[in-house]
Amino acid sequence: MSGPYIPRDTDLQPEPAQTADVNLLHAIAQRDEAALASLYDRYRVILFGLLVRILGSREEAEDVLQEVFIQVWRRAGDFDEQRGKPFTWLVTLARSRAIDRLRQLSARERVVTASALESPPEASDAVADAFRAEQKEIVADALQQLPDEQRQLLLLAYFEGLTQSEIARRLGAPLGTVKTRMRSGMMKLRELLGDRVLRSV
Amino acid sequence: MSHEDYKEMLPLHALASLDLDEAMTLDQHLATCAECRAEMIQWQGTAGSLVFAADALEPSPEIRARVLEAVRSEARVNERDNVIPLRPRAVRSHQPAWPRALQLIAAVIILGLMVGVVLLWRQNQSAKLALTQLAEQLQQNKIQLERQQQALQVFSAPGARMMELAGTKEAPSAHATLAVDSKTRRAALMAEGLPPAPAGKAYQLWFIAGSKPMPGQVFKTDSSGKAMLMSDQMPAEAMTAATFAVTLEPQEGMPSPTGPMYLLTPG
Repeated sequence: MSGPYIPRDTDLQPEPAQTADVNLLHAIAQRDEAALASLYDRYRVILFGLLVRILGSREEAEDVLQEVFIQVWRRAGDFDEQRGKPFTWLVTLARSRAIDRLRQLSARERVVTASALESPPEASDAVADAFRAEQKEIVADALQQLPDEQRQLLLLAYFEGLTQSEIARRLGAPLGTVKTRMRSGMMKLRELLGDRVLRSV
Repeated sequence: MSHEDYKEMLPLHALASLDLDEAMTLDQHLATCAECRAEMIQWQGTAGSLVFAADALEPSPEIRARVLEAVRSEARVNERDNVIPLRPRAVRSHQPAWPRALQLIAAVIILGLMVGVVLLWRQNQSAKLALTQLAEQLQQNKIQLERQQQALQVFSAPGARMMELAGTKEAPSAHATLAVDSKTRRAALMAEGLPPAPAGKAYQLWFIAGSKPMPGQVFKTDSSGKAMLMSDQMPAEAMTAATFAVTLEPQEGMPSPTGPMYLLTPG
């Protein structure tokens, strides 16, 4: 996490991995349990990290992780490669499940964690392989280059599932300002991640 | 809202941070705008990259087993569900096979046919009865005709003795002719002007041999008072008898005369 981000000729996700993901989803749609197991083995660590970050609880995150892969089993046939990458589809599914769960929990007991407002934690997980560590570094580097207020807004939105109005209330900021900063942050992030993100994730 | 307005909303939609009403409006636009859909996919990729901002973590090993067990039991349920259409249909349709109107028409037709069959049967029965009656009538006519022919044979037989019987005071206008053929021992009587015999009564022919009346046959008249009697195997005494008479007697006949005399040979 030191030094400026230097663009390299690497992708956040190599093409062979994407092709393999598409094939796995097709096999899962054909009721191939082994394919589901393969997809689980490939993404359980990154998805579980996301779920723990959103839910703030291993227990809840494990519940949702299980739900996510059952959904993958049921909905693999709906996946359309023309409308996005398998990885993006999987992450979007996991995140929206987690946010749904978060809202259910919040309705009973509004617990607002401050974690999302903090700076991105350092990559310290021993289980991450080198490839994932590299991706993590690329994204973390890009986020570091964003103005603080933009980065905070994006992380609040992404990991806490807050809408623009909720964020405005939370921060006591005008809605218009929140909208503008979020949009600016997303545009800057896309620019920093470059074509690699657009092609891959 | 313009196309450009929608395009500006796309990055926030990718973060799922639009308020509900804006998100629904944008979804409607996305359904009709291919350009925005393509750009939305790019924004989702950018938002998705934020997943790498979270620390990767290893879930408990049993989660994998739970996932696989869950989809296996789901597959079993699906297999069971797939069997359902093969079961025999438990509920039969309450809809009648024929519409009600057709059923009514069919019932009327069947009833009509049954009535027709009964009528034809009764008609057949009465036709049979009439036929039987006609046959009986024909048989009677045939018998009567045969008797008349036999009587005529007696009347026309060579050597036959002819006698006239005159009506008594009981029937002054009555008259009869008697023929006796001694060769064949047959006798024939043709009478007219006799009153109809009352119920249970009939006319009986007698002949006097010596001083004793001998019984002959019993006969009845038709509605016009005419009668024809044919009698074969007459006793030998009757062949030579000179006196013949007809009286009214019980219809089964009597051994000797008991009733009033209606016809008698003059003498």
